[in-house]
Amino acid sequence: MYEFVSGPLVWVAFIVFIGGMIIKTVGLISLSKKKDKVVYNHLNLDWSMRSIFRWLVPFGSRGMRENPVLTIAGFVFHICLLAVPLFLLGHNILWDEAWGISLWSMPDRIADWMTLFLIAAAIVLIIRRIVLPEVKIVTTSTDYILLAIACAPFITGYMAYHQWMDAKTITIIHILCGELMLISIPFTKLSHMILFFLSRAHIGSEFGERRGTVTW
Amino acid sequence: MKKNNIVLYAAIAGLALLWFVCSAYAQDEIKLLKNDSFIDRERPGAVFSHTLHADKAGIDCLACHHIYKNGENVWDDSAETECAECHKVESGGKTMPLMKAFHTNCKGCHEKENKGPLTCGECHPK
Repeated sequence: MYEFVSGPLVWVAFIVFIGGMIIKTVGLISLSKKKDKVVYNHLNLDWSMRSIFRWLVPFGSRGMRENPVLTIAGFVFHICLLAVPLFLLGHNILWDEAWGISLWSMPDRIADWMTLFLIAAAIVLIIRRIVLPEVKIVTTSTDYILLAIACAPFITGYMAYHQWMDAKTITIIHILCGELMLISIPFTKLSHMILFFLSRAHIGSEFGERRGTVTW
Repeated sequence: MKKNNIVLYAAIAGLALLWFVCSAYAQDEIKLLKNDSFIDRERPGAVFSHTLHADKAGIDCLACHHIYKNGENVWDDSAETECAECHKVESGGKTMPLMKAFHTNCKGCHEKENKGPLTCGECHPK
């Protein structure tokens, strides 16, 4: 079972994730060329990059400055979400053994803390959806399911590292959760990991190039 | 009485000597791949029973122990050395770094034979 989930199923997950995202991105761009041609009249690299940059920097936009709790929770969540799986020692050892390539890796105790920060940030994001009426009204059950899918690899990874269950069982569950998250990305809102850049380029250009105003 | 005491002391001394000699020659059962080369280790040393591998599973010594000369494994009992003598913690030239050597050797065989643990926590229990 471990060999299956850590072998063929990883390939399936990455092919669906990367292939799905390419199809989705190309599909949306070609759709916009058909239905929203006017966007391309004022699409501007400078305004696009400025908009993307402002929204990648903590407190870089007005919306972020007005909602500091969301900003901090959001950035902690996203930084940990990307950094922990990429720079985890155990993952890098597996890549090194499989392909002879690996990235820099962080000490396990830092990854351990970053995982706890991610879970704490996710709890803040969940509470926000329940407490704030303007957020609650646009929240559906899908939003909670997606948060659960994004957090599951981290919760199970934490359990596997601390061996709260039988080591083999929890490791298999952890890998399955990671694969579920990867496969979910192209089919759900999680695709904002790529589409964020398109949206920011679009809106940055729309407001900057056309109306001469910033969107941050 | 005095003579008896001398015999008793001699017997105790003899037994003590025997114990020292035996314990010096007898090898303790290896239960852990403990290696002092890893100074800042992230995980506890791997659980490893030499008896289970060598005696019970009957794995050839040369499956793990090796000294390569002209592409041939010429290791024998007399060449017993620490793995870390060649496999340094940091990679050096053609020789695999120590951790990769352990992982490749153990997991490679476990995968091939479809026996033995493969996940992190099974070999490195907390």
